[in-house]
Amino acid sequence: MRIVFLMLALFLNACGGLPAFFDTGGSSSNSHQVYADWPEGWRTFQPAITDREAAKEGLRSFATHDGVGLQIIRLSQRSITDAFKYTKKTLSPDMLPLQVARIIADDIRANPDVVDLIISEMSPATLAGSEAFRLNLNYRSKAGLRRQSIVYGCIDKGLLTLLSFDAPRRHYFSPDLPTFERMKDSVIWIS
Amino acid sequence: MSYRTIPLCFTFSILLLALTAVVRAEMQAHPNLPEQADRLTHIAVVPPHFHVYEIGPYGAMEQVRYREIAASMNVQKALTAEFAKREHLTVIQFDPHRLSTSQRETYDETLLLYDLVSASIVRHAFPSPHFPLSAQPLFFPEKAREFTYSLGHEIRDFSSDIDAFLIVGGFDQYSSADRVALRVVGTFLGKQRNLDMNQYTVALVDAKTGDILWFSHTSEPLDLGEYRDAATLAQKFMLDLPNLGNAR
Repeated sequence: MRIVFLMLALFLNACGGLPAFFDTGGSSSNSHQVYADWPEGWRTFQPAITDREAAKEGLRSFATHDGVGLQIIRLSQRSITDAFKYTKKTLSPDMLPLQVARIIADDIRANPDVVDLIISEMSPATLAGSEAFRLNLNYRSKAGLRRQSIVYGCIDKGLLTLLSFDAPRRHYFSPDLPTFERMKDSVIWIS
Repeated sequence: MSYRTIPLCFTFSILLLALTAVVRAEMQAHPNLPEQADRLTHIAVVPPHFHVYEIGPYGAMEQVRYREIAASMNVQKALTAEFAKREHLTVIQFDPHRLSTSQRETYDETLLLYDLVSASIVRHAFPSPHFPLSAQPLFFPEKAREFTYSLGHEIRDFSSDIDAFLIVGGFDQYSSADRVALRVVGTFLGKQRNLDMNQYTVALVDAKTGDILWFSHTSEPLDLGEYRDAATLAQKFMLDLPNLGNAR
């Protein structure tokens, strides 16, 4: 009887360890407000409704090819009135893209998992036909691995829309950057 | 089948699945390995690196450096003993202390990247035996079929006469004596979860391209601070290691 109990406990423990998101099962997926052609051959996921952290960040979908630690594209949308996680700063609808970029960069800098952050680019761009910004970030993970991120963002329809790509600089960042840029060009508003 | 046998079958199948997960080391190989295996004669064994944590009574984790060093030394010794049985291979104990400053940076980055890559491989390239494939969103069948992970060509910076590196890593987190005592009480109160777990990995990495040619892992509960367990791990990994260096 003790073995039965142990095995059931093991089984239930394994069930409890299931991730709080699910595979969207296709190479493209829709968020609530924007549509994007997700890269072919990548796995796209959407966070579960119960994932509070993802809901707070407004995370709609994310995709990876080899694993989220090795490359990840994230699409998020959130109300501009929501405070940022680390700096607690907020946005206003009349802010220019580069002003928004500075506030986002500050929040990234305040993230304890981001070390030695260098902002090598903060420039105007377009995202889903809206005026946007492009951030190019170099940093080290808490463990010390050099990583690089590209972040596009815009304020439109009362929402902050962010599209980002993050990967280790070595071997993984450069090969997938053109894929990410193509995907960025496919983002359009659907409502 | 009577209603009485159904729970028995269920229990047996769960038991069987759990046992196979514990006993077996699983492996994957790069599609190019069969055509490259014969030319791999010079193998450098990188000092194994492990992350060992002791879990305190209330869940705080503390890194236990002396156990990491002991595990590394034991596994390296055990691997050397195992490689001695493959006399046709030239096996080098890779010494990172001899590297220049820039080479050392590349080396450290290689190990950091290995930690990420190995975690991704375990998560995405191996199906869990506990669930049907349709219920495993983290298993990527395409990565299992076309096993192509890499640590990048930068690895060639610290190897000129080596064909492949053998990298061993992993983590072990175990409960402190205080936590074990508390857990006995907690089990009855339903308060404490067992967080003890470990994962050991090994990879054969092409010294020119950084491609992972072969990879194996196990979550068998081994205490690598004990040489006997380190030898068990080395034997398990070496059993899976394909035949190399037959061109010599």
